Amino acid sequence: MKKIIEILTIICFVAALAAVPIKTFSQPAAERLFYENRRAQPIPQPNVRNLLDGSFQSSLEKGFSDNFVFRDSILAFHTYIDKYILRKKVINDVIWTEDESPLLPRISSAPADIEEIKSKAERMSARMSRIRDITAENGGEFYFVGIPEQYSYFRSKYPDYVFNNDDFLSQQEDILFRILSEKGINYIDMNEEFDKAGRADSFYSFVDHHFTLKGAYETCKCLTEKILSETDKTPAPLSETDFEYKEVPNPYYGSRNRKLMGVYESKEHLFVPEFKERVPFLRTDNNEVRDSVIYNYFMDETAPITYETYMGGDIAETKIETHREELPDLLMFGDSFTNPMEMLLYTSFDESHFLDFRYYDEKSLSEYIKEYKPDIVVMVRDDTRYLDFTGNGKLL
Amino acid sequence: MVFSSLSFIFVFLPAALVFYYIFGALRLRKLSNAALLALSLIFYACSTPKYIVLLLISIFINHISGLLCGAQKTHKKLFLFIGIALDLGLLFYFKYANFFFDNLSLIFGIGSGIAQIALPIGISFFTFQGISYVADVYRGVVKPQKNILNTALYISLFPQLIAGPIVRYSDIETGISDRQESLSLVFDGIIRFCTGLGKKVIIADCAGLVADRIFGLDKSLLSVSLAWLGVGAYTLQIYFDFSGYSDMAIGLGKLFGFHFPENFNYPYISKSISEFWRRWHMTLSAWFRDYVYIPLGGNRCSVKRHIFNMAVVWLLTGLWHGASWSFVVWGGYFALILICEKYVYGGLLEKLPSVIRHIYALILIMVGWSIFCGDSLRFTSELLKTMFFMADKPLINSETLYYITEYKAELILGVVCCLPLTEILERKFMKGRRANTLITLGKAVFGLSVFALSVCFILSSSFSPFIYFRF
Repeated sequence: MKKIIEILTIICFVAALAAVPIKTFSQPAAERLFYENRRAQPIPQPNVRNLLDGSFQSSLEKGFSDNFVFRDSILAFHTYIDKYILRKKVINDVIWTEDESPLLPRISSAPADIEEIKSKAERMSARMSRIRDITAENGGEFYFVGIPEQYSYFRSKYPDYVFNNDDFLSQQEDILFRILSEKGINYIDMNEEFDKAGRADSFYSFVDHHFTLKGAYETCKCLTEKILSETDKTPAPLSETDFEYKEVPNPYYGSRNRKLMGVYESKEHLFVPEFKERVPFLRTDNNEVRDSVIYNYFMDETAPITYETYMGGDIAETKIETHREELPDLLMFGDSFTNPMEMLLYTSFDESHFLDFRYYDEKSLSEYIKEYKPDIVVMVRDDTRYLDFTGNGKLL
Repeated sequence: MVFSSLSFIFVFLPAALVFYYIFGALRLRKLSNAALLALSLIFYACSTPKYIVLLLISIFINHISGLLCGAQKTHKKLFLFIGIALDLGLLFYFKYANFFFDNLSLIFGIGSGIAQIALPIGISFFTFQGISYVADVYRGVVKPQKNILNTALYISLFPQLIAGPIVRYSDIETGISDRQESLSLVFDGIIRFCTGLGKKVIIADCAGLVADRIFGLDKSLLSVSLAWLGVGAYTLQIYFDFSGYSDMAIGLGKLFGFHFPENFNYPYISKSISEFWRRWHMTLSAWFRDYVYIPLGGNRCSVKRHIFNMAVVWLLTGLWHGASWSFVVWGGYFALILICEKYVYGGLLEKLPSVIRHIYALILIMVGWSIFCGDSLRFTSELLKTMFFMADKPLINSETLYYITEYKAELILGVVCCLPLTEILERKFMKGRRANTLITLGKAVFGLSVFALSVCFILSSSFSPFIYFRF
């Protein structure tokens, strides 16, 4: 009997050692890893160069791992163990407490450095002043719209013992907006505005780091009202009576629940605006005319969708022309928070230009303003990026 | 290439087993040895291709030194000296030259222009194996190996090449030419390998994550309990990492018919530091005992000389672990405790209740790891101050609660696995032939389950969402 057990064990072990590489090497190479939202590393071919410089071994480990047979299922199993066996609340760096609570990211604990915040806020506001001046020289008005990121918005919902970066976020908000105010830069602090609007949970996604369409609408409404009340520019007022929130039936994978490998069952869906009276427009992306749509359509209602549904995701330059010359022209730039705002804001302007400087590199912001001469320039940043001088924070 | 990588487990190992057992099945021992040697060199080349030359030089030096020490009667001491000097010369150049010249530059302002030298993987292990071989030939403990391929196989045998255990030539001398692979041995090898893999990836890596994150925190976020938790996690990490790797090496050795010496024997159940060092990295302790401590005179000398011998051995043990002052201090720390246990309070310690002795040993071991784990003595000093209420830190904070809440299962598992529970259970309840079958079945189920779980953990550690998840 002992012998039989030994033989069976050896067979099982050897079978695993044989089956995994055979299956892994014989299956088609993975191109993308959906849950990790990245390109899969291919299994490398050995050659003299990569063998001698040692890179073959490290590439093989990454490639083999990314193409490992049943990779997603195994990772889902590990996530399941973490959640239901080990009862962890932080899984794959996502804080998953109760199903009815938002999924939040784990933030590395670090004390807020007030001096550093002040110094960076001074530098950032100096750059904004310069853009404000360039905008004014070209006949326009500059606005900074500061938006809380999802974890910042829901930071009171973190478990007591988990670091939520509250000190840094609060200090940063106080210091930056105080300096902007001192320098006379137009700004909207959406953290305050959301408070005034009742700080509803529905403004933000529970499974993604962005706000929802409702949150985006609230932001656009504040922006257009502020422009109307403070300037002679007259964008068409935005009202919730102009459109309906249409639920997209497809399963929605946000940046948070996506990391939970499908173990988290999300009931959240994306909403898109269904305008009662459609404003006709011409859309150009990166100088190429494309369909006049503001969100992706899906024929298959079971296909998973992401935030990229809005405006088709992050695009270097999008131009929307509504051919209503009585309305002002808009230039808005920012990260993906701008995408749902773009779906709404174009209805208030004649011509809208939306830039994402993480991808756009044809002209600098100042060159763009000088050439296009927009009536309104809007800079949109979320509060995890207020003091970030890269991408859309580069400015000059 | 490490044993806990997917490419080792699912690419190198299956290929090695097929390659090796083709010749094994044909009963061609010389060819199967040649296959094993080729695999070992490939294994080393996979990690650091350019240093394969260094390994070959080391093999050549030790083979020739062994031959000369064995053949000559008149000048064998000279050949021993030359062989060991060359071995240590290579070790010094590749492992200690940076440290030496950095300190020279710091103290005398010279030698600062020396280019940084990369550390070849496993050099401490294969150098010590080479020295032990030459010394054993010199002392007549073993006969010199005439076939350089066999010497090469002994020094470079891949299961023990890069992280031990430090195998003596006498341990595998007969195995090289005349070993018996058997089903039982392969079964034991598989279970041992899987157990080691589980220790490494399920416990050590998780404990390491906790330790790294705690040690990486800003000092202002540390609390007394958090510092202890960090050192505790590191204590688990270093044991399960190293003993897991030794288990994998011993298991792999068995898969190829070799019997390697044990390296760990539940060190954290020790009741004194002397006992701890009889249970921790046993092959290294035995090496220093046989090749440094006893040649210096051991304990058969005056008290002063004995203390000197102990100090030398422990300072060298510290330096062996790495070229930095932290390791020297760590070695000195243990030298001091061992001398005190021997000459100051050893007798008193033995009269204390077992619980107190366990606590005594554990606290000193953890303090030792707090010296070992830091990049600098400054880090250690700050950590120790926090641990012993000398840094004006709170007893507990939310960070402590976070790590305890999130990692309690792994940490408890680690603590439980430090205890010899399986041995106790086997001794108490498992007697007779039927029990033997049950034990085998239990081992099989346990080993294969741990293997599956370990693969899951390894794969999970490669989970790497794109930065897009933030933006």
